Amino acid sequence: MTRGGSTRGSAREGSAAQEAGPLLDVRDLSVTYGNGASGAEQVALSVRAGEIVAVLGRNGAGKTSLLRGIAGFLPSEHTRVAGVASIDGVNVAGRDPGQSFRHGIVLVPERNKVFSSLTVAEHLRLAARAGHHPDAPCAFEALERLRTRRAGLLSGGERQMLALEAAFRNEPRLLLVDEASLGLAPVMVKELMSRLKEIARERSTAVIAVEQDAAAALRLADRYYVMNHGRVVSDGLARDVSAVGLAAEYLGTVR
Amino acid sequence: MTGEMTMPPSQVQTAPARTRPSPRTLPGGAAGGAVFVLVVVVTALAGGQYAVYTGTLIGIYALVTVSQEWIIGRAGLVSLGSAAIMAVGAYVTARLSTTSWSVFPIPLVVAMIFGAVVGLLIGVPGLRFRGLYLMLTTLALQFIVAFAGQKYQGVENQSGFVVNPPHWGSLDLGSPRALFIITCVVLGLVLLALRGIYGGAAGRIWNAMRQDEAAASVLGVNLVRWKLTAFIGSSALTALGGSLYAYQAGLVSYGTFSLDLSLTLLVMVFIGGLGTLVGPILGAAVIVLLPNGIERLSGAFAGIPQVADWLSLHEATVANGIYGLLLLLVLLFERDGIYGLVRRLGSAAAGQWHRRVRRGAVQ
Amino acid sequence: MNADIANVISNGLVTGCIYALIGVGFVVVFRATGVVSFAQGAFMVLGALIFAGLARAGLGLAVGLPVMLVVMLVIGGVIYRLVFARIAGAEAFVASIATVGLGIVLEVIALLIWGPEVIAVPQLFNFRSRVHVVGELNFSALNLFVMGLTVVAFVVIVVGLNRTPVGLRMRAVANNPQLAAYSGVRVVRTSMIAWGIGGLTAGLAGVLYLLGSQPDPVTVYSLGLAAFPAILLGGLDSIPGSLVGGILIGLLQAAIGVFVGGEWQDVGAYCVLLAVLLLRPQGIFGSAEIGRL
Repeated sequence: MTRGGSTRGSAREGSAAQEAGPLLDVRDLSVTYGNGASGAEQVALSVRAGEIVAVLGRNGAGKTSLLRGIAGFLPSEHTRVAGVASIDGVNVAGRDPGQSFRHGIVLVPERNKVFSSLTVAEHLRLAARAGHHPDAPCAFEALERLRTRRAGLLSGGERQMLALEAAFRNEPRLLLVDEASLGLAPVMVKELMSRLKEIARERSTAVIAVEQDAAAALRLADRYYVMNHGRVVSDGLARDVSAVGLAAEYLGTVR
Repeated sequence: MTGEMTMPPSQVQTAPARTRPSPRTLPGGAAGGAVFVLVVVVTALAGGQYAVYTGTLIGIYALVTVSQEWIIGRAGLVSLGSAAIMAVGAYVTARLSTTSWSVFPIPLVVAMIFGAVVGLLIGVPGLRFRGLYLMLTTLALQFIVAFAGQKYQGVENQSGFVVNPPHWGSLDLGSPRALFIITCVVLGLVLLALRGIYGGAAGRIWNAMRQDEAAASVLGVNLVRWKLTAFIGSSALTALGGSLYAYQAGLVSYGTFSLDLSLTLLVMVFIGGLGTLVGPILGAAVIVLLPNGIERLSGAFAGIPQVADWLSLHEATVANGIYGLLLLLVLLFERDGIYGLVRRLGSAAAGQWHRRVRRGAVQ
Repeated sequence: MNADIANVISNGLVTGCIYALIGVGFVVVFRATGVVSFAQGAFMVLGALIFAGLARAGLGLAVGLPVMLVVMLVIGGVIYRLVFARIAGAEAFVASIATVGLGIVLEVIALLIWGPEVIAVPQLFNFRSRVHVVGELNFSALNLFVMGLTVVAFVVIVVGLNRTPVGLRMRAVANNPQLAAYSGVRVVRTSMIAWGIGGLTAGLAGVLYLLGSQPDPVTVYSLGLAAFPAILLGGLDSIPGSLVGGILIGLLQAAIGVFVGGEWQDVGAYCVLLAVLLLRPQGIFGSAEIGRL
């Protein structure tokens, strides 16, 4: 497990300054699972404060490994993370999830993104340590009338909203969202993504959104990266490309 | 007699060539087989009383640990009731040994059948769910068999059932040396059979199951049936071990086959190393020899009477503690057990040697 | 009410309370870390021996018991940190085997330090005084003490889990340790608390058993295994289940003891365990998911 030296600490706290150095700087990040399988290989990526970045790619392209490599694995998962993922000059690659969390990185995982046995209100209480009052109004208004419901009984869209709501209440500087659109109706995806973008902009939270749905991702993001076989194969500005063209590119890069 | 009995081991030596080679299950199977036969023959011909006795014990435990490894290492299940299944085999053998069915190897075969039936009975409720539930059913089995054994022995056989020595018509096979050879031949045959099974289609299915149950299930593997097969097979072999144990001890009583014995067998399998046939045998040997080692240790401390006395007084407890500690250490640090450690050290040493040779060649 | 039934009720409730205490610690540990602990018996031995030592040194219940509880809390937490933090979670099954090894090691340590003799403890209760309830049913002061402490322990645990921030974090970890870590919960620290509670309740069970009988360490240790039928009957992951399962098995065993014979008690409990596995593997209150573990 490489703990690597610290890199330059240039990002200014909380500012959305485009011209400042990156908030998160990922270099040579590799993720190797306990069974020897490689998840991500020497990935380089950067995110400026307040910027929204989409990571696109097919199933198994290494997108989730990248997010988890940044957010950290539990020691019992026996996963090796090498390389650098520095936030404010502190390398969190290969550290445990708590370390990343304390540096303002919050991950909303792809599956099991809520605690099925806890109620919505309990999720908000769990996320209340950043100073948000548990009873404060939800940024996702739909959750208000669901406060007493168990998260296990929520619909897919409601779960996603709850996960994002709780994540934002932890005051992240960098929010990692894994496949938020997966399994949701197109109308729901559109609504959820635009709300996510609004909240992130309001609070100038940087976001890395891993997506298979290129159209949804490009509406959300400022920039994009495309991954294949564990590596970043291209990147660019979201406004410069069309979703159809981009999707054709990464779905077309079949061996 | 000894000459006659050494015949089968020579079959052991030639057989590996016929079975399909399977590098995962037994690296260097032929070499391992040769070492096995060599050790057995030397011990049978030249071993003293103690060596023969200890060898028999190691052989019996190795037979049980190898069959437990079948379910732990292949099917990913753990049984806490191996001693109970040994008890079934031992009781069957004890009862048959005093009847006209006592001709060798009938009691062994009947013991295996009983073991398989108990495996089926306990496996059906225990295997509908994943490993945890088999642990609990076999824990129940352990208590139920101990109780049934106690009731079965009753007052008149309170100290246990006497086992008449095995025989072949008028030929008595009950001498320690003959028992040693029988044990080793049986163990050798079981190893060959398991090697064949693991190397074949069944072995690949268990392997796939252990790596990813969901994936195997999607591919059409009936998980419960294959787990049950492993459990029944392993129970039959465990009962066979119990049968040999009965002959070796000469007396069968429920107290022998306690939960402690089950746990000790479990420790043997894990510290030996899963995924191989050699590991469990090594584990059995280490644990059988451990109390003797402690005795030696207390001998070595003869100069410091306090330590020596304390060690010899607490020999059994200390041995127990070392089992537990070994199990913990293996699970925490060296999942492949002693065999994995030996292999790793071996390859490291070989690498060193190769480097040195290469450096020498360059100079 | 005839005397036999009264006996069954009073003995059954007391034994049941001890099972319930062993069980609730088991459940807390299982829920938080997914580990099926076979080491509860060893924690009972440690608790009983530590308390007996304190009692012999002249500390009564009022001091000895709280000190023992704190020590067991620390021991449980430290053992999680040293042994299980590395392997629990993703490898719960391996960790469960490791508890077998841990149980053996702890028991051996206890035997080597304190010896295998009956655990000596000064008489702390007057066994003659009995509280009459109804008909033939009456309880000794010790019985009432055992039941009272069990109720207190359950109330504290249930309220703690459902009404405090620590309890909320423990439930989050129990539900999904990975997500809990990403939500800023310190998973290792929270799991240490769970194991501490497991050690503490087992220690309490050990002391209560010690006060009622004169057991040697090995007997105390095997009671830890004897609690499995009760735990499974209630449901491996249910806290109310551990109380109900404990009491039911306690009553059943007491009834077997009175009407059939003491030697049938353990085997009766294990037959219940087999029946539960066949008919309702998740137990009375357990969640259906754990049937697939």
